[in-house]
Amino acid sequence: MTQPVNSNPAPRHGQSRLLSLVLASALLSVAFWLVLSRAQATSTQSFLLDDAASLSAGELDGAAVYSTGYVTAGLEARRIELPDAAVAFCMARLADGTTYIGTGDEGRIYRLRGDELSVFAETHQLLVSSLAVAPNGTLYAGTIPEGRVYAITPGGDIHELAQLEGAQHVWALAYDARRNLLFAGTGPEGRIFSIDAAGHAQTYYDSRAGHILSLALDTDGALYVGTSDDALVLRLRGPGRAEVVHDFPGNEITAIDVRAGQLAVVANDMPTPVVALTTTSSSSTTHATTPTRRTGKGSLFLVDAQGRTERIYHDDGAHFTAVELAEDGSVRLGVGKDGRVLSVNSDGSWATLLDLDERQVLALSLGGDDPVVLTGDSGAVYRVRRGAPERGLWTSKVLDAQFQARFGQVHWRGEGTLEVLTRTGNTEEPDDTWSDWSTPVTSPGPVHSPAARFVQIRARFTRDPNAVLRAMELFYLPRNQRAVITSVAAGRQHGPSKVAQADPPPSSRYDLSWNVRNPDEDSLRYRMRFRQESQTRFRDILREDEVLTADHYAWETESLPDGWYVIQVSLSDELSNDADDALSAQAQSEPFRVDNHAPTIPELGVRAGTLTARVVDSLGPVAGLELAIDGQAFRPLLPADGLLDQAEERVSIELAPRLRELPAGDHILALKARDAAGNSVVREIVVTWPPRGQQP
Amino acid sequence: MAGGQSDTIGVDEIHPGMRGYGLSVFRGEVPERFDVEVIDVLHGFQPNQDLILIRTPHPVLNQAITVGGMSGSPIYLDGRLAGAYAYGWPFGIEPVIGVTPIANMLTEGSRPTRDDAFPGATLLSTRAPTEARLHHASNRAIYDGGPIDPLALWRAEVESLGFRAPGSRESGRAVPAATPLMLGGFTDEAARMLDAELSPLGLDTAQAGGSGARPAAQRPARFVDGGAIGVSLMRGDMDATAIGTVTHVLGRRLVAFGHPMMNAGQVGLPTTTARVLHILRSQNRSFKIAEAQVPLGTLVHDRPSAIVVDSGLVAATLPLRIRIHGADDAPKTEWNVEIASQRMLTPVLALAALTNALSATASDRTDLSYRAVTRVDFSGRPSVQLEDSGVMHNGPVEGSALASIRLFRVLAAAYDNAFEDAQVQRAQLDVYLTYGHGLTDIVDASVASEEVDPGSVVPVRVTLRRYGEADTTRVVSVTIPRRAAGETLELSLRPGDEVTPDRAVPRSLDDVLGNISDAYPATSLVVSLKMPSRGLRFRGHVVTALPRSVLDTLTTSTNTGPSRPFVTYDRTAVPFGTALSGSATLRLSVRATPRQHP
Repeated sequence: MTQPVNSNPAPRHGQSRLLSLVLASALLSVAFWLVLSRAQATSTQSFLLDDAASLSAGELDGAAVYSTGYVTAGLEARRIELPDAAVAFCMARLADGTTYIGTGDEGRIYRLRGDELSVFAETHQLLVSSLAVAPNGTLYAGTIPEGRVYAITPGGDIHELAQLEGAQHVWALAYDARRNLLFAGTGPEGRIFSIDAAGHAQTYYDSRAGHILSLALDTDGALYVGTSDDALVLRLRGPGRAEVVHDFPGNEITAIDVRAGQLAVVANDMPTPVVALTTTSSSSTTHATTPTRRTGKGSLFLVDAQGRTERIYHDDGAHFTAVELAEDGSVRLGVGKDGRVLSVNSDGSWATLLDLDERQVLALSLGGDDPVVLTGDSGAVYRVRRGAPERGLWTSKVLDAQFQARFGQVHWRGEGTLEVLTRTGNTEEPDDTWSDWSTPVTSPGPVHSPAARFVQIRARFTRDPNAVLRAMELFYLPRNQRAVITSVAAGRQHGPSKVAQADPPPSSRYDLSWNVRNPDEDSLRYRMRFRQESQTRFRDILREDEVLTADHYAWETESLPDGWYVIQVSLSDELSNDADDALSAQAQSEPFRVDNHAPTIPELGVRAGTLTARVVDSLGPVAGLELAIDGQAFRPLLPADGLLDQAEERVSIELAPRLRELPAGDHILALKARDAAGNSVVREIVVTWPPRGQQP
Repeated sequence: MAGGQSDTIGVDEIHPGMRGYGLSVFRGEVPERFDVEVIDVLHGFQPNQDLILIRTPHPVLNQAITVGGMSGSPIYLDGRLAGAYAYGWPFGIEPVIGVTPIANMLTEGSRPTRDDAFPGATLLSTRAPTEARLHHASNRAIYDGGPIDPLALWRAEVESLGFRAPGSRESGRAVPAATPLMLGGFTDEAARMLDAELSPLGLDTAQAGGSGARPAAQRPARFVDGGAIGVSLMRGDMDATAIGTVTHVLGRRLVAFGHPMMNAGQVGLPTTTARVLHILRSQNRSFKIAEAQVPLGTLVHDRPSAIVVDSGLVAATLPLRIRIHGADDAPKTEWNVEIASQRMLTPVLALAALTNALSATASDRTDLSYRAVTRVDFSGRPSVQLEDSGVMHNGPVEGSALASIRLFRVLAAAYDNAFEDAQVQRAQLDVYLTYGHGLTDIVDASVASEEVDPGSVVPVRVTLRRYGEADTTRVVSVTIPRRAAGETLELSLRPGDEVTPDRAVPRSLDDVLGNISDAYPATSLVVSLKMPSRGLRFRGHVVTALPRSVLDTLTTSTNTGPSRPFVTYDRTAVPFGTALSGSATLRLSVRATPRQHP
């Protein structure tokens, strides 16, 4: 498990603390900290690496990670470059440790003797895809793409032994010293050829498969065969005679090893490569636009002498490329991804033995005194060394604190003496801007690397080759990040409408709201102040003991004079941070109108058949005038100057056009005035019509 | 006139109203004077180059306005050489000409050539300058031997170099006075083809003479100021010579044209003295009718302000012999030409020569089958011999059929490959004609059952049709690979020349030539089974039917190289003896396991 784990702000020390945390956090941390992470986002946190997945996510150099969740010193590998070889595909070894290496894409065979590497032979084919050695020292090389097999003397003289009919690829060679025959597994017609020393080749077994990808010769002379594109393992009993050992899942038996009747079988399920079907010209050649690779799935099986087949390891994210049965019954496994070599026990437990720079391990020989591993992408041979490690390094993956962080204690759990180092930087990939590795410490203590966003932890096993690392934890405090108010808005609430369909009356409560960018998700407290636009001094809206954490507020303005106002909102992350680290920010609203008072109609009268009135609003302008007669609906009215554009407007209308159709007598005229905020007033006057003296 | 700098006049000394004269050949070989009057100097006409505007009041030029072939005519002011007659305005109605200042031309004239540019005095490398070559390679795939149409290749190259068709020229722009390309010994069809292909370069074809044997020169050939000069793109039984005028002879070198011919930089095109027969005045275009005289020198620089000729070098040319068989009643069945060696020009000129030879020998508008045997001899490497066949439904004017003859691929490879300079000594093409509809159409194909056994041999009935004959059926046996068990396969039947074998990425010119040689005959029927497996191309190798894990390994290991997975086919070529057309496709369902037969 590798995850930031929040802890209580109080510092914690000591192994017991770590142990309790390990136990507790494994069960509770996810749920527990999901709850608390928002409230205490910038409190002390830690990286905890305590299982196989998290411990093996980094790099190994002379260290091994085990499936049960610990790290020890392991094998060390020394890289030897194969000049001009894109891929080191296969090997054959002599008893004295001499290693022949088949390579592509120039079809060369290299010889590694001691530390002396030389080009041993050139086939001028694309790839030396298989090698085998006869007891007399003759090296046989199978090649692609013309299905040729070469014989090379110990002195390096090469000659073509045979070109196998119908074969393009020679994937596997096995020399049977009992019969003095060389067996060749080929494709794409799935044939096994037997070839004698004179180069006479004949079909030994003609399978239905496309390819014979792997051959393994047991000490009793049984020849085991792995096929593609089905995934069968066959046992050949003689020319043309075969029995199926097992029909494995997947589509390739990429590698087989056999030791005294026990088989280790690599069965892969490889996807069909994605090819963009773009036909070029009239050639009917269809190309992928770019090389596209999809991950295969790998399985490792053990088949015992009685035929019992058991899958002991599986990886959905990688296929396997090479296999070797060790004397102790464990299986060494080359992985086609991330350049790893695993050791898998029959009970399914495993250890990562090697973690190489190349993508693929293509062949391995880890038994004997001089273990070697070959890689593709690019071609290299690694000499593998056991014993007390010279480097013995386990390095975590790059751990991301999300923000610039100050690092505290590094604790670990295990046995023996480890040296622990750290380094930090602000790029996702370590580069020369990162700090140097810190001075190693041998007991838990403070990290001496500078504050940064990213950190790596390294454990060195050189002082105590028997040391064991079981868990590593690094505490850190992310640097507090300032939250920012990006906008402030104010809007007037409306009261409940008493009349259906009518506009609700304006309220004196204003909705204040604001948007916040809060990068570290601290809990935020907001304070608000206001001022009239023309004033400079802000006045608090909230008391200091009123803690507002919501990003909105309903502001009562009834007691305020009408006018234009500005709101200032301040935030602080003091709820999540120590007072010294707390950060604040503020922002203002645009000026907005507070208008809680309706206009007044100080003058209203009728003179000489004309209604006159004066309407006054404190903020202005008067936004609407209406007149209702005898309780009928209000109808719009224009002021005397025809424009509603001032805080004071005068009304002057002749009544005759409005009243002449009405019955003679008293009539009630109601004048309504409304301001821009929707506040309104109504004043009435009783008018006798026709005026006295004009009545009929 | 001596070639000293004091005999030239600078642009800053030239003013409106100055009078002077020009020199050009109006007829024969001797230059004549014509009057000129300076209008003004157009400053900054081109980068680092002004343009002197002059009038050419002359009875002929008043009518002809701008005369193609006069480009390069020296213009003298104040008794000193001012520059070269070079530019005109399309649709101009007065004889106003742009003169390229002599200083710009002399700068080009003294420009050195690279040491490796002209190996020996007889064979010239056609290699472009190193920098240009790199640039070229980054913009266009160096030819690797795949199928090409030489005309398409030529047009793409012309377009990439920024040449524009004449119709796209703007009337308000000064343009180089067209360089007439005198064609001799060409049929109308071939002349039209050359006109279409070369006019974007500013070469206006004009029917003239000049092919075949010429009367011996009466005096030793030499170039003179104001004399006619030709650039020979082809000579022999066919002649294509671009005509211009020598501006100034500088010892062994001379400058001419006053503008580029193709702006090709350092080149090695053969040049010749020339004789002017007439100045043809035309409302469309006026030009000198001329013919090549004595081969002399090599065009070594084709630059913006001039072409530069070294009269001491003999350019490399490609001797091409074309023999037409099967038209025995034709008056001429063998054609011998020398073609200029130049990366762009040579293949398209060779195609023009073949088109011309065929249209002159067998101009019939009828169905015509051909078998073409190509032989190309190189210096220092084995000869290449190839055989192609095809059908022309409308006689030799159907250039697309001829373009598939692999002679042109070999020439493209020799002149434009990524590996080495190849010296082509000679090329020979024997074309065997058969009159009549020699094509067999693939009409249909069928199998008894679409379900087939892996490993079985499936008889495919192919229905064929020949003109004027009843449909026939031929049975082709197709072996179903055992590895196709459980798959559905697409089986296609196509003429051999429509199918390209999977080819390796070439590592050498030998590989390129090998790729060209490695082709299915047009007279074969290629049966292709589209397989579920994938293959990869490498330098020198092509790998098919790879297991998936190996494909994964090899694809990635060559990720920076050319390898890309491709769909693989099992192909079988069945000889048919006649050229084929059409195609047929079937889908076959392959059983997972063969049926058990009692």
